[in-house]
Amino acid sequence: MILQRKSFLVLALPALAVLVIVSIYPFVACVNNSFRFYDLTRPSEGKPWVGLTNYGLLLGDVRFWHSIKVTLYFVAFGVGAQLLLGFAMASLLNSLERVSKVILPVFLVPMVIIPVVVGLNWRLMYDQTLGIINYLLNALGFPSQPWLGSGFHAMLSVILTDTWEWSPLVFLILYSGMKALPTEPYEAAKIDGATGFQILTNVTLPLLKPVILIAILIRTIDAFKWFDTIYIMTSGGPGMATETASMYSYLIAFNFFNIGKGSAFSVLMLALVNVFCVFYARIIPREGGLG
Amino acid sequence: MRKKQKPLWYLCAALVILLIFFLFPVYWIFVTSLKTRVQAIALPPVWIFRPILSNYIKVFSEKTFIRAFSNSLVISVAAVFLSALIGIPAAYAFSRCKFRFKSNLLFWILSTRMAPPIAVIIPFFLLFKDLRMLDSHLSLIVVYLTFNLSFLIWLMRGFFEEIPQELEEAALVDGATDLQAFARIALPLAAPGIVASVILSFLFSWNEFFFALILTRKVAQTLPVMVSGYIGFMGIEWEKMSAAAVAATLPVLIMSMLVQKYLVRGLTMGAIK
Repeated sequence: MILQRKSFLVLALPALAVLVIVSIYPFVACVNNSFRFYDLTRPSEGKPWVGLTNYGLLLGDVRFWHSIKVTLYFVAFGVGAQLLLGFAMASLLNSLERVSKVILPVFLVPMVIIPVVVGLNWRLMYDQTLGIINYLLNALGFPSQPWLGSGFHAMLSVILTDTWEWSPLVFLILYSGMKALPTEPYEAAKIDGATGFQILTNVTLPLLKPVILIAILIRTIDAFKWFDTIYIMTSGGPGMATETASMYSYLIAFNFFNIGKGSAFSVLMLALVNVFCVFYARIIPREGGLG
Repeated sequence: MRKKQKPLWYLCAALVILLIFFLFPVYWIFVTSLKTRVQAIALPPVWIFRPILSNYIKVFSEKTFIRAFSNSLVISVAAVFLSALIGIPAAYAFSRCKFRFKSNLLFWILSTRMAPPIAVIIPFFLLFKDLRMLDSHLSLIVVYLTFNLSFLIWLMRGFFEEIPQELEEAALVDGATDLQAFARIALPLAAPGIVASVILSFLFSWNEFFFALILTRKVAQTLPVMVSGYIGFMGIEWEKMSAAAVAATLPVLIMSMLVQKYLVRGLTMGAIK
């Protein structure tokens, strides 16, 4: 113990005080508003206490359940694709050690570009008549696709963009995990005559499990909250095909100005994210990191 | 790991495909920003052309762009500076103290970082509306504290924990106070971690869109919101939009390449080192 109690307070108190204000205040206000009728377009009605009405409204709202379904698709297929691609990339670069140093920075680029710019750029590329993707498809003999025009395609496009943006993160997490793996199990497996596939399923995957879990959790939490590129590319459309929970809750609160219902939505999302967070805190080892 | 003597050709082919997939979109927006309007929407696409800089000149002569650029700069710098000022000492305090409920406290700090933005912004929007502070720099700076502060505490705690305590203990034996040991020994030793955390924090603030979309209109509009406004002109001004997008991205792209070693650590809140 280096710090005395008094010094601990001197160093930590300002930050903790600010954190309490910027995190407890919104939380309390959110829960409070979720129990009220609170409509910014009808200020004359005040904000009377209505109990669980907003939660009832939300749970009886078909569009709410639809947004949950869209979010689940987005998270499941997006994170799934990113895991597969990230794992493939990590294995590939792990066996091409000499080039990996030079190439690694390239994969950092997608995730540091402003997400709005990522969305705009892909929107240009997805453009049905002038976009480069349809041009390349045509050049290869395939018909043009309505990338952001049909519900099915829009979902696919949104997931593809997310995969472009975030597979590199999954890759780098898994790659640093692979670098830290011990060599002995591999030598033993080789001596025992294991095939490449057996080594993968019986040695690599079990050893990498904690790192894979971190990648899944980080991406699940982020994808669950994701807004920027979806807002830019489809704004939840066409129709409601890509309207995720974060998109719909945004519309409720800031397009329909129904603060009460929006707050109830926020509280539900907060509860869900906190469940993920508990898992996340569990797998982060106490003394710092993995890999 | 297993060593392969020579890279096989199919591995190299896979690598090339990956590089094309990840680099082509970046290349495409960059070349679009160097094209004339006609070239930008030409079909078939123009692959070889004489690059022009006039889109950038146009963008930088626009008042809204310059204002958004300086807004982004002021808001990000202020938010990061304030967070670092109180967050780094707090991180040190957490790394050098043991007490009951410490892990609960740290979990709470992590959870403020992970909270869905919508839950944070509705109350702040109402608060700033009542205070008549919507569309002000200060409102955005306050909201950006929510994620920067928890990020800096969580990440810097990890960096401080990597510094052996013996040096500080030696200073205490020599008669320094514990706060002096922090300021004169731990702080300089943690400098690389501080630089990395601060740059990443700046990156998150610079790229942030959701809060800025809701809290700003014109006066305090940041770059991502300003650039998103080009959607209205889609199909008309691709080349100008691309130039603005590249100009907005370049500063943080360069900065984050300087701390690439720590990028994954930052994005996983220190779980991966």
